[in-house]
Amino acid sequence: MRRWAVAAALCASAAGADDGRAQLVTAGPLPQGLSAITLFAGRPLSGLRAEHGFASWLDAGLQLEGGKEGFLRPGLGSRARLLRSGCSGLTARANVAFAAPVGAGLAARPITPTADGELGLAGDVGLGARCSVSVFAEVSGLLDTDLSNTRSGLFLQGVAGVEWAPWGPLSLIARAGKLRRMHTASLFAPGGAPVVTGGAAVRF
Amino acid sequence: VFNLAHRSGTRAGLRGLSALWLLWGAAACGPGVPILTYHSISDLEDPYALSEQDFAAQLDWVKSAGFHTVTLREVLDADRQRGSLPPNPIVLTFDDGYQDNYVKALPLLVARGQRATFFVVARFLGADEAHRHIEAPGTPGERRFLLLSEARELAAAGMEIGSHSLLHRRLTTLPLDEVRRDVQASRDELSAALGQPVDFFAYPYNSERRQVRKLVEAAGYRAAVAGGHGMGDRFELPRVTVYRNMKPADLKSRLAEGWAAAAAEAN
Repeated sequence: MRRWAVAAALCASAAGADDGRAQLVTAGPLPQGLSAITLFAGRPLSGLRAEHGFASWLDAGLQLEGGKEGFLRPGLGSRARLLRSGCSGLTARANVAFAAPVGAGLAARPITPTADGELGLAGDVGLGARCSVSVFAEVSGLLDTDLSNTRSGLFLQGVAGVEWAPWGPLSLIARAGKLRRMHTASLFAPGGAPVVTGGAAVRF
Repeated sequence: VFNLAHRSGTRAGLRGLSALWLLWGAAACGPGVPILTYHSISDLEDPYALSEQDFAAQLDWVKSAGFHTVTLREVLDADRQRGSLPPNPIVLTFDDGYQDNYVKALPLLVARGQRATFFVVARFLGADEAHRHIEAPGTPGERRFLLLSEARELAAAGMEIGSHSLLHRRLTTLPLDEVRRDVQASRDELSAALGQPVDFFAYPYNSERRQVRKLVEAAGYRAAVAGGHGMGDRFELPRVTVYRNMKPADLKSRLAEGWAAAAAEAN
């Protein structure tokens, strides 16, 4: 019973915003009324994401991403805070997106248009006086499909990173991890592709 | 008033969405010309060696799927408005210049009216049988490379010949002066030996970086092919590698992958 009571208290605290915190974009959903734009570049995706906090525990946003394989991937996403305790929290994320090839000039890795859905679970730990540094990790599963057997796949992505707010509304984000097809047993086995991105976010 | 504002807001939203959709349609104009990478056509126990039967099945599928094989020269010419490409163009490339490219691949290509680009290692082209370049001779992994006369016959049969460097060294590990000499000498020697310009380059091991690309361009090549991570500019054209035991269905799926598969399984 005590365990459930602790969990309930954590869930309840998840709904409340702490105004003294730096409100980093990787530290769970943005507080109600706060917006953020994040620009990031790297592998496999680069792009721009705009998010807005709709409730103290829920935000949603739009994204436009692309990859050097020659595709654009616009999408919608939302995050919901599951737990929060002080500067730490646990967040669920859901994304839906559509990817299609873009004019890639002479030759291109042949990318077929697909739709994808992604579900992720992220944990973050805030450091510093105002939680101005966030260390986070996320595991997500992604289904990419064109509704055919040959071009549908389940993928697993694991990333970890850090966000640092050196000044005012600006923060810098770096993350690294791995993306791989889910048929192989372990995320840590050889294979797959590196996920390495760096970017900056502005909150307003 | 609220309703009017609401309706005009909705209309504006729909207009915005339509504009975005048009923009998307303009951007999503489809992939460029896919380029496949083959190596040895043989039964070698090598992840890059494809059996003759699997290769023939792939060529048949390429034809039945409506693809038309073209050379890199035709792709470049079309890009510069100097020519046009057939519908569904595809480029087949062979790296390393194995003898089986001439003995096994060429007859299968010619029989189907298909063409390919063969990237040969300039100094591996032997002058005659006594000087044929052979790696691991007498072992199950023996690799025999083309003679110059065989490379000439490939060219005479309408195939395109490109350079795969002078000695098949990983160029990214060499001093830049050495890279400069390598890419220039391989072009000059091959052009002289074949009696025709050699305008295309394939990076050994698909290993390249910006300085190497610049030196390849400075040597006078028109374009260069890379691996799955190529960015699509003229000196980093991405290719899809064909592996051992790949059937036509596997090739089909590799010729149209979702973004996640392409990102997670590049090359």
